Amino acid sequence: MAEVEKSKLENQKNLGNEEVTPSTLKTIYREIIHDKWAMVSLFVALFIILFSIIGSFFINQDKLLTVDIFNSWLKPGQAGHILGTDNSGYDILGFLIVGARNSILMGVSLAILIESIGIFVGFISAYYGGIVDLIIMRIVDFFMIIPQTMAVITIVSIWKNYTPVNLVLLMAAMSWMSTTRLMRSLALSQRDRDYVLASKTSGTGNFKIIFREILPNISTFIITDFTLTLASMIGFEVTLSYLGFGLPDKVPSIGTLIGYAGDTNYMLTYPWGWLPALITLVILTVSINFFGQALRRAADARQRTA
Amino acid sequence: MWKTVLRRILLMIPQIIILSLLVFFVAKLMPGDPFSGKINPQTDPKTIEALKHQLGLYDPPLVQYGHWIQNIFKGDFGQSYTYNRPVLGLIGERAANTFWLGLLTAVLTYAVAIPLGLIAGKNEGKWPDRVIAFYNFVINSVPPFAIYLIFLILFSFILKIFPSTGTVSASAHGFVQIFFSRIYHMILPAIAMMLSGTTAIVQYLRSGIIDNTKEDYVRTARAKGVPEKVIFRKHILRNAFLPIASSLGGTITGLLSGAIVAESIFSYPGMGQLFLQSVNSRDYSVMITLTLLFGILTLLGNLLSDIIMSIVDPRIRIQ
Repeated sequence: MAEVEKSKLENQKNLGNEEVTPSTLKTIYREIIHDKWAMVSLFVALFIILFSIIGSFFINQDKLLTVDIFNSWLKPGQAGHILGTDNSGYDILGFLIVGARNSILMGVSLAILIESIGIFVGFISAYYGGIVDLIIMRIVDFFMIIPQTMAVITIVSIWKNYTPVNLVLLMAAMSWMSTTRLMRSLALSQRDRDYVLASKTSGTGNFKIIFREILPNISTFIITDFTLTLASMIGFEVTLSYLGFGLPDKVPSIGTLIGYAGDTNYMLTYPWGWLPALITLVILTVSINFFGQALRRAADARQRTA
Repeated sequence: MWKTVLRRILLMIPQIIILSLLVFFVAKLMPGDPFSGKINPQTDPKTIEALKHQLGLYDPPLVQYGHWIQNIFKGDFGQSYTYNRPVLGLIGERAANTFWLGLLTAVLTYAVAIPLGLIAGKNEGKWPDRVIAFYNFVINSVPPFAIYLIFLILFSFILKIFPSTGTVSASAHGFVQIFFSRIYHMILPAIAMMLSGTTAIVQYLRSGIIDNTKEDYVRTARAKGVPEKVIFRKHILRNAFLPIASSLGGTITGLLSGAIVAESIFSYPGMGQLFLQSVNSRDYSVMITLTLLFGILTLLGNLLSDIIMSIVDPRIRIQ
């Protein structure tokens, strides 16, 4: 026992030493900091996220959502409305900021929830194996055949007075499978490594091995999957809101604004209603995805450039 | 191989049963009853009660489920409340439209993705590869519905090259004219849906070619003097195509889920548009049938993938 403790201590000492193999997170940081375009995309994504979150503190939501039909479809710049107004006289810029914040918050909470489910279920499946693994994987297979968009739309349409939190849970219930599969395969690749076996031999508990030892070793993949899930979940929520089955009526989303493009009466006559929202959405998802791809390249030793 | 297929089909049965149970209980949660639209305020409440008893609405849920399944096997999916006609015929018409659009999209997808994947794989790291990687990245990052919308606005409304609604123009006569008018109406949604379908195939083919080029058997073939062209065609390409063969079933699933959004944006009267219309008009029997149908089609897509895989790759056959 004493010797094990000693070697553990030595290992910890070595962690601070640059000569030893650097930790995965550190390598990623080194890689990404030299990737100019990844940094630009990170900056752009953070700018949109922070701007919408901080900006929405300065917007009075009750005033924003007050119908004012005398000022409907004002052109950009008229009467102090920088991006004009929409059908109900709502200020487009204010609507866009609050909508972007809501869509981003939906995406972030979905991504956190999906990663947590994926890590928990995937790890248990991989670590215990056998019948547990079999049952969990059959459940995953079953959820994979449920038509995702259809199921959410069907349930939302019969669910009276659902809240954004309900929607997050519902969307997560339909989207956790691929992350769970990924986490399972990652955990499987670690399960029989020497360090896990050594921990087991020395009597470390299962949960400690899973969350304190395996988890840090695959943290880079989790971060990468988080960014990609974030982008796709923002896309999913905006699509649902565009179709009218996303966030409830009183909660604006980017998709609500883009919805004006779906109405042929408004599409070409009032482009300022939907164009800023569409541009924001495209820039946001492209920049998050670009950063996620760069992270994935950095995490994959075979694709390393620097 | 037949053993593998049989095993897959047996695995499908419990999935279909659970799916149908879920769909049934969601349907039970929906407001309204099968008489909506058939009765009027003057109908005697007692008559309605009697009708409800007759139809078995007071039976235990599992008995009702049994009746529902029996009716499905008889081809009776209920009555559409908005269209006032049997659901089966209504969906049948729309299914044909979705099928043709899906077929055109699938043909376009492979026609575009395979050459792109080949070029990218052969020129790893050179400019064609980087251009294709950029294309792949952009298409993958933008939510599909935004791509559809941009296509619709740009090509149908601003440039006015393609029609924005319908399947066939009223002035078309004769087989040839109708055929081309149909394709003309489908081509814009098909191209837009094709774009998001290509990315995975291009990616698989590219990495398949790059990975297989480094394999030992390729080195062996080179060492014994097999010409480069033959190595590429017979050794590398055959293996690189394996994941694409298996993605064929996934393409079907992708087309179905894409159909809901794409058909509503391009006002194309297929199953996806019918689904959204039925949700908006609370036409529950249509909604339920379509959800069940899409689930079963997804299952069949997966089965198709497995069958294709076991034909092209004998290694994965289960004994």
